[in-house]
Amino acid sequence: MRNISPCPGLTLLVNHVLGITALEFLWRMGVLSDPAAGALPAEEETKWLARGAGGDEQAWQELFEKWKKPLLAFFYRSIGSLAAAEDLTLEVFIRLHRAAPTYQPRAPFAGFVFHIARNLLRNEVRRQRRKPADLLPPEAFDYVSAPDDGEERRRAAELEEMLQLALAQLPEAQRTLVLLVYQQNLDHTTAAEMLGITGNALRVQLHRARQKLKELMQSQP
Amino acid sequence: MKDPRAPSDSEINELLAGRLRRTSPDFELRWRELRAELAGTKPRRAPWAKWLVWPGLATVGLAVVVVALWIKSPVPPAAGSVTFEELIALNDALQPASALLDPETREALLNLPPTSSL
Repeated sequence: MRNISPCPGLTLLVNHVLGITALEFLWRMGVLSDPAAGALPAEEETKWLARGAGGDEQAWQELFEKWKKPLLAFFYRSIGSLAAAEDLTLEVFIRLHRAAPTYQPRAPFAGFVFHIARNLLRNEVRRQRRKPADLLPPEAFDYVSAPDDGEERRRAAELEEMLQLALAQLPEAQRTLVLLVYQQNLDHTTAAEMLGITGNALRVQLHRARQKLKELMQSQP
Repeated sequence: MKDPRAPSDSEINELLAGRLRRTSPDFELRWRELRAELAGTKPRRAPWAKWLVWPGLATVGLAVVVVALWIKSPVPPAAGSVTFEELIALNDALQPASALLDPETREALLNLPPTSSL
């Protein structure tokens, strides 16, 4: 057949775009996805989310019980306000509800949750300057085994303040990285995927972030 | 000299790994309200057409550009062809000319047998 187009290159490009669109559509519809490829062992969260989407209140409760404290800790350490951390934690569950019908466990659930959490956090940070206004006392955390009024209490309070102020001075990317790995125990692969960096880059950045955090804590007055 | 106040690595790890011991009653109350709301509302499934919006828009944009270019580009004249103005001029020039052969001779010449030895 004779090519009547004066711009065969553009025609080719349009064909490519149409092809990619069709492939994306098929992939979205699950036609192209190989169920065996990249399949993860079913996590309980996946089942809860599916049940929750169907209106099961108990499933939402299970999800909440498992994720409320990790999320609260992540948000509190990131923005230094418990009230804001509570708001954002509840917002995560609203986003989960919205995402439930199309959720596909291609990565660990923790990665999915903290991907949502980080997006919310960035919006929040953009909206209001981060100011650690309401520091929680060390007794609020489970790392203090037996709170007393003596030396141990004083040291815990000092360290708590140091950490929170140092985290406030750490750049967002470094802070999130430190929290995902040291607070949430996310494995390096999941954290790297979530942040869109390679495993090696993650190790380097994590080392730098950790060093910086320690320096900032030491430099607190 | 090392600052005695400086936190050790293990202290930092412990602090970072710390979780809140308990949540506030107000937070739990807000959750219960939200939970009822979530359970009572069916999450709206995104229509499949929504997934095609951006790729579709890009395709339409490209198609518009291609069509615009195609319409705007002039069709190049075939090599050796004459323009309409040239034909008019030729016709005008030949108008007063008389035929060199009379019709019978012309017909005879056109129907000569192909065995000619010329």
